[in-house]
Amino acid sequence: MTHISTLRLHQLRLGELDAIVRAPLDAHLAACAACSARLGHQDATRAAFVRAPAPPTIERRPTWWERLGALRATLLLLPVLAAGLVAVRIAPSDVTQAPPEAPTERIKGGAPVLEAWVKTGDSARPLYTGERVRGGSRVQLKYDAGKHRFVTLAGRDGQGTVEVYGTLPVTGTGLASAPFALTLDDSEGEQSFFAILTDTRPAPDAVLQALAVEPIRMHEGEIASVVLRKE
Amino acid sequence: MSLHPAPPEALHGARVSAGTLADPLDITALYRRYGDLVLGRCRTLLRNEADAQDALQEVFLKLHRYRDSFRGESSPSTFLFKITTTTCLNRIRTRKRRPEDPVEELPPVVGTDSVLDRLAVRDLVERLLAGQDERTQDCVVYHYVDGMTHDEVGELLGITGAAVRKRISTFRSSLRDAPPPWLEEIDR
Repeated sequence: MTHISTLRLHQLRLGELDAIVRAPLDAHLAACAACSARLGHQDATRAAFVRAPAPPTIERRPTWWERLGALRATLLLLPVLAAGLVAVRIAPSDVTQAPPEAPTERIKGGAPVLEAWVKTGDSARPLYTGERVRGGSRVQLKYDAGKHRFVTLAGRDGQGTVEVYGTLPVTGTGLASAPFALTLDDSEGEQSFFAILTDTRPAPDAVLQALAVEPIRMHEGEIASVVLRKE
Repeated sequence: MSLHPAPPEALHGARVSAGTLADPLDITALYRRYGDLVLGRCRTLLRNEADAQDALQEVFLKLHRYRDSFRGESSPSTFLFKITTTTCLNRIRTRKRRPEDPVEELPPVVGTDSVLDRLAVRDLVERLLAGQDERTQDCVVYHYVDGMTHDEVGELLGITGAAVRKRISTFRSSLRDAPPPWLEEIDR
């Protein structure tokens, strides 16, 4: 028997083969060191992946100012002390640079839930509604689903074409990143991104219809959006 | 459409069974179960980790966008293996057409789940892109890199095993004057 194919090794590892197919593969593995090593490599890749299951996402890197951390307050205080101003009190909020506000726009519902981040060189920054963005930019969507169970991410271009990227079950609290980044094409015009937050999985057709016309209305849930101008 | 990449060819003609997962459209579940398969595949075919991570995201983005194709008869692992291969080869072809883009060297990664080692895969891909059509490239990669038989490749690509054999033979003929070491090793 020749070596086991890479795909077959995956299927064997995943338990997707029935006993009749599996038996000769097991026998081959017992006798072939090369294939055993290849299967071991897949196991090792799997183990590393499980330890870090989240895909790499576009994250804002801390500014040099934020990286200074506690030293910031000291740096601020030094000239103050040098000037002999003993009674100066600096509240933490005065010396801490707040992270950029989430560039969200509410359509209805409670807290803001959608952010769009663009990668710029080695860092990333949030995009504000109405902001211009170049074709080819990589955009990462982030959302906070609150108490809802599902988030559906979608987009609409300047021609009104709606695209539903997918519905994800909500697995945690707080801000979460979509398991993908989007690369904008070169066509100019308005580009909207939507997060539809629901307690039941919405039908894709219902999402398409709801986002195709203004004003946007869904029978349930909340919608948040970011609207950019692509150039 | 406002976003690219273009529709993946691999999604046409490859239908996936809904039986393996409770919800075949649950991308999160697919990612958790098969993300390592996709990432490993990307690492095998692409030159560096950054490319592999980008391709990993691209593959699952395609699943989001073309989920309607995600129903049918082949297993999710087969479906994803094929999409990933197509995605990686398209990336390599694009890079080939734009030689001004910097190309990073292979990282010092040990081990692979392929039949060929990484340097051999790199050499094979370079030779393939130099003069073979895309279908032949697919056949050769599945056969030499992944160790699939002609019939297995044919089943995956929707062509006959004989057609696969013919394409691989054509590729081998192109190497006749200066056969690479990895080919001689396979033939031993």
